[in-house]
Amino acid sequence: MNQTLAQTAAFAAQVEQLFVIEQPETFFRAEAAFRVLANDTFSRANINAALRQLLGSPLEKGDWTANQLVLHRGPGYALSITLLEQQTRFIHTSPHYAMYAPLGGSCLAYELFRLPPSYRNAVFDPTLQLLPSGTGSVECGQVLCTRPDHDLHDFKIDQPQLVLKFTSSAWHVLEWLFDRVSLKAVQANDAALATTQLRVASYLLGRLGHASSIEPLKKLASHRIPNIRWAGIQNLGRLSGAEALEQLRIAVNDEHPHIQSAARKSLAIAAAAIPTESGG
Amino acid sequence: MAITIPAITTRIASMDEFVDYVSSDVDLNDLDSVAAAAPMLAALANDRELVVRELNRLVEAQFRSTQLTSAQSLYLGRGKNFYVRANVWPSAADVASGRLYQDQFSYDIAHDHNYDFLTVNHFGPGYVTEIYEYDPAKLAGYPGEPVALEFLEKSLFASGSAMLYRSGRDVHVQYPPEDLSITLNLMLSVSSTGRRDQYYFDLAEKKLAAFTPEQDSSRRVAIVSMGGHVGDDETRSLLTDLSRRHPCQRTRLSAFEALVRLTPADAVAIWEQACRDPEPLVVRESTMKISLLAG
Repeated sequence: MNQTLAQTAAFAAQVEQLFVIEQPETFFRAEAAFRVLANDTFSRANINAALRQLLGSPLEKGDWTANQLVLHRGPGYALSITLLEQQTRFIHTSPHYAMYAPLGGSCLAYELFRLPPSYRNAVFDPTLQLLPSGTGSVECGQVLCTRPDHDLHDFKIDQPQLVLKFTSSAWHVLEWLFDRVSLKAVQANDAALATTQLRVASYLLGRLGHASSIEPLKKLASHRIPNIRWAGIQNLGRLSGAEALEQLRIAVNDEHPHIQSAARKSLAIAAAAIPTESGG
Repeated sequence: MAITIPAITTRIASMDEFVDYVSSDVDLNDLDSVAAAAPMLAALANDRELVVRELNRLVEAQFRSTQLTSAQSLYLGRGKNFYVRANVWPSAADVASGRLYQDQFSYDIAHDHNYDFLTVNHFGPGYVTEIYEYDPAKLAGYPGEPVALEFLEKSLFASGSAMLYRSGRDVHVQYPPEDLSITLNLMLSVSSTGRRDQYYFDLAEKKLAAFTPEQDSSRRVAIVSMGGHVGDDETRSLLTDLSRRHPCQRTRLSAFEALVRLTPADAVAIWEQACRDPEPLVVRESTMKISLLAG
């Protein structure tokens, strides 16, 4: 095993010993292990290995995205070298617990924003506004730790910036987007692709209308992620009115206020639509 | 132009039958042979439960095993150098309702493909598509480049026919159907696919707009660029080899850029070397860089 692979394996072993997925704050127990890798030498060796792979097998793909060289994916976390290329159009919340280490001699500068006190990630509220909270920067060799429910770090990307990034899987269900001028919330996206895939699957199963999909949709109707839950209930209604009504009755006590309210409205509409004996 | 093939059949084929058929009867390097698979793809599309079964299974597995990283596509099966996927085309009303986000679906964006594929409609009325054609021999491949896009047709892609899209030649833009539609695609992944680029086009300006971000060449460009940020002597040597030998023009260009980033003092010599590249894309960019350095 070469040195970088051995270092990555040692890091993974430590993370898996220290990080308990269900207790996200334990993510930061791995900070010391991350600091060992937070230098140009480790990243350079990995990049050189990827370049050698490109020379040896020109069209073969590693675990690469359009801006990321993924070094390791473990249970509930990933380690990658990431090229931050340009400022995003909106200011984004991050659904992950994360650590960043700038590489290549330049520091990672950011603006800091506080999330408003009434912010609840799963309950999108377009009236909420970010509160500016200063600026900061991280020098090479230092590590920036970020939490999804604390201050929001908006990286200033004047020129491409390389970072070593260690992230948990999405802990929050939504990624909120804030307007850069008004600082108001404008949109919330699913934090994980699988959430979108399950919502789209729910929509498709409802439209395709096959009886074999009732059970899968009932499972979605009790999913832990609110967006998926509501999509499951809505689309179950296309296959079985009785099953949907049962789920709606459960949903009036849902922990998510939007689902509660939508379930109550849907039940009221359903009740009004059922003809009474006298009304014919 | 993209080839339209009648594909009406009452036959119903299973995925196993289809994969066996393509594996044994279709020459993936011969578009006529691929076009001849249209009736069999239509027969696969006649399995009305094909997508439902896979969706039920994926919901059960919480999409953990999915092989496609998009909400629009559903992986259905594969053989050597090909795979079959379903593509989802929600209606404009469904997108407007907020049930689905528009940016997750490939609407209103003119694009080509860096692979050939055969497609049929499986469910719903079908999307409306505008089809254009360009001559790849006349394209260097840089954003902003004027492209002689020839408009061919605007049509409803409904059941009863198949379309064969040719890599690096056919450009199309899809518009939301009146109601949810699902297409099946036979995707070809021959050896040249990873070398070719896929582009977005600006139809109003008739220009090449951008490279698509998740194609293989864009990923290679990112990795090579990283070498320019933290490289050492070994990186320089690897980048030099890549700039001379890699079969993808964007990868070579990116290697030259990374070399310049590592040794700015050698920029002119590096770009002069790049000017000797066989591809106009690399030569054009290099010439511009030299002009900028001289200016």
